[in-house]
Amino acid sequence: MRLHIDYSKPFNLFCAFLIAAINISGCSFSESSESISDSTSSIFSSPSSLSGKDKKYQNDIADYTMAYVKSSPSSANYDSFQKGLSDIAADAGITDCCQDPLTLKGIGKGLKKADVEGVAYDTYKKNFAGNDAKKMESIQDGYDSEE
Amino acid sequence: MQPFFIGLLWIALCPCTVLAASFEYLYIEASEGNSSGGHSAIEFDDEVYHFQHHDSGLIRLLKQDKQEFHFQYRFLQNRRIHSSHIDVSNETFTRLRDYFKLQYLAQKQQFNQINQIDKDRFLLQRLLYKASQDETLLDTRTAIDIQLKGVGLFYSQQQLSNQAKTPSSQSSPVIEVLRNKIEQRYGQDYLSSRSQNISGSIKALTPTHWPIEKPILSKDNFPSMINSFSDIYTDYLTGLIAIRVLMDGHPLRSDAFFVSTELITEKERLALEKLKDQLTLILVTSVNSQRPDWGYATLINLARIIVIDRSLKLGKWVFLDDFARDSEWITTDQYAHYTTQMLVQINDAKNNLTQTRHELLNLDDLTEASYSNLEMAANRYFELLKVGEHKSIRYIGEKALPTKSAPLPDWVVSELSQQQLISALNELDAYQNNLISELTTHYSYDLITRNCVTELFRTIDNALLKKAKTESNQDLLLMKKSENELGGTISAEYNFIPFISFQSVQENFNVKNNELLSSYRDQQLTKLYAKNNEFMVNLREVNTFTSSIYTYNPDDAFFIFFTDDSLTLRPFFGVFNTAAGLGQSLLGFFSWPFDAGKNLKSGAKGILMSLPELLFFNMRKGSYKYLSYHQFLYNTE
Repeated sequence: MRLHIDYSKPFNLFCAFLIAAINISGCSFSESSESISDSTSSIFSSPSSLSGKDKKYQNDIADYTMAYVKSSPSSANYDSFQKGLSDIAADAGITDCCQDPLTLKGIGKGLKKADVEGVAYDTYKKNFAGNDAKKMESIQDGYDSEE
Repeated sequence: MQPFFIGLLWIALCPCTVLAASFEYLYIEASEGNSSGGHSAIEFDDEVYHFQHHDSGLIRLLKQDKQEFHFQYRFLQNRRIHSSHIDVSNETFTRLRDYFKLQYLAQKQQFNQINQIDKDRFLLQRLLYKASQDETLLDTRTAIDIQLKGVGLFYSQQQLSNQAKTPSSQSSPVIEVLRNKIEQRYGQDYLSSRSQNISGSIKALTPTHWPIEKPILSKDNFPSMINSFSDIYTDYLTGLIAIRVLMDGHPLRSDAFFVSTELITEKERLALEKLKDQLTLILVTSVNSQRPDWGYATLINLARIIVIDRSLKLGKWVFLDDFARDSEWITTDQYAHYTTQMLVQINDAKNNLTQTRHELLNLDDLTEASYSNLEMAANRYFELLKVGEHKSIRYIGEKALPTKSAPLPDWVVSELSQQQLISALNELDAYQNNLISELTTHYSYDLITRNCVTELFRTIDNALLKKAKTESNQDLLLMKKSENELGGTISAEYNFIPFISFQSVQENFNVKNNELLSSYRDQQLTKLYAKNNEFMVNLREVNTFTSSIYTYNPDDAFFIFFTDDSLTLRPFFGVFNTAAGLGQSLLGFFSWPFDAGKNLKSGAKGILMSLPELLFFNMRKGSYKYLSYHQFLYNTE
């Protein structure tokens, strides 16, 4: 439901200032809010959005890959990268993230988002796929699908 | 044709950027509870970013799903949200969204290091204590406790302590079959050989080198991802336990699963058989995997294969219990006054389970992810059903993959000398001091200078400036860029109050339109007005005693009148609400010895939250703890 109101009320401005001045808790955040906002909580589960969940999962993997690539040298230890992947996959209910095509495509998208090209891209692709041709193909698919 | 060419010419000559995208600036009204002075957030498509002040005294950027954010603020906290639709170019939209996303990920990584350091310290101190038996070396202030995820599905703490000495007396036939498959693929001695290798790796494990270099953090860079000493140790140990489960055929714990009353249909049976084969393949592959956390994956898949096998044999759905160890429980007393809302939730959970089962059959293959969805839906429904049996229930805390953890056993430990351990602890301390000092510099919360509003505008400024660092006059450049890309500039220094900053957005940015998104109570009142006499509805719903919409929530300080929909009477109602707060405080003074000051604190909060109402500012809205997410989705469609 959407309502329309007028925002130009100087008196409200004064009151807002007053309340902000006496407010002691500011932008506080309680632990209970944190648990409710945990997106894996089934409070938010909805069966009609399985494809939406897949898309969200792939985007999360892509963003995480982009962040990793931007923060770590290409020679970095991939264990920490894989652990991060596993955490995201666990939130999506997946244990087998290293074989999962959705995950591998997400990695490809992330490499493209991070503007990785040429030799650097090939190095990452080989390392992330452990030189497995099928996995490299999935990473390439993800890379090509990202505009 | 002339106007057409004039239009073309105007587009070609116009210096403004072509606007093709938009984002939302959100102002959340004040209320008691979190961010009581009001709150601000920014929404890009389905993602909402906002800054929150945590108990640590630091302010952090959070990312939430749009619907979940709106449910939390508009329904559970019953607050209206004012939304400004801001037009920008595609390029500006992408730049802002990506910058917020990167900042969020960078901060997540930065704060994750604190957790890693705490776990490393816990482990190092524990090893040092084992080596020296000196209790003074144990830091009792460390609240953290290292747990092994997935291990609790098979072992209790006591069983884990004894397991090193005595193998399990019972054996699971399903695990025996799986063990045979593994031995067929990798050889007869594979498991014992892998177990020995892991034990050797644990003994040779050395502490993480935490590099002391400054600065650890910066606004644009991520700290390197570190696979810490405790992470590596727990991964090894979990793998070792997974192998032990396989070798001993150790059965699932009886409290790790439940047998439901739901019968399996023939189509579901076929889907489950295929999934069982798929999980078996994943299991056999993961046992030999080089990924660090293969042990946890193996334990989960083992447990799932066992319950799927049991489902097929019984003809009824059997599921793993997917609630985490630290799930939030609610007692019968806590939900006794919310029977209707709990019944709505049970009904929602039942529909969700039915629809999830139905949807799974429409998929080509039942995948791990879709099975996890079903497992969560079933856990939610059967847990909520306990309300009918007047039992305490776990309300929040489900995980998409069951985590059932167990404390760290001392099966195998690193063979480090006392000197090595002390040296590692010293290095850790030095790194932690630097990290905390830098985190405080970057993220220390201040009500006026660094709060949820100021940081939102600073992040926007940084995003706009990111590609133009070489310019000498940053302020001038920012002003120019902000005017070009957003329509104007907003200074974070003078916009620290949510409501005022919202006004600034109206005045300075390219705001296409505004919307007031209703709260839960607004929506319910509208429904009542449509069916009943408005005056009578107002008379009944204006106070907490006769309201049919609101049932007193103990999280709210006691109050009498809702003041969100009656501007003229607000000060008058505020007097009563303040008096109610005073009354509760007085009562709290006498009940202090019996309730540890809970009533007194609540009463004082009630007074503080009611005083602004004397000056026409609304605070008391009431909050709702047990509303249904489905109801929110239905009402906002």
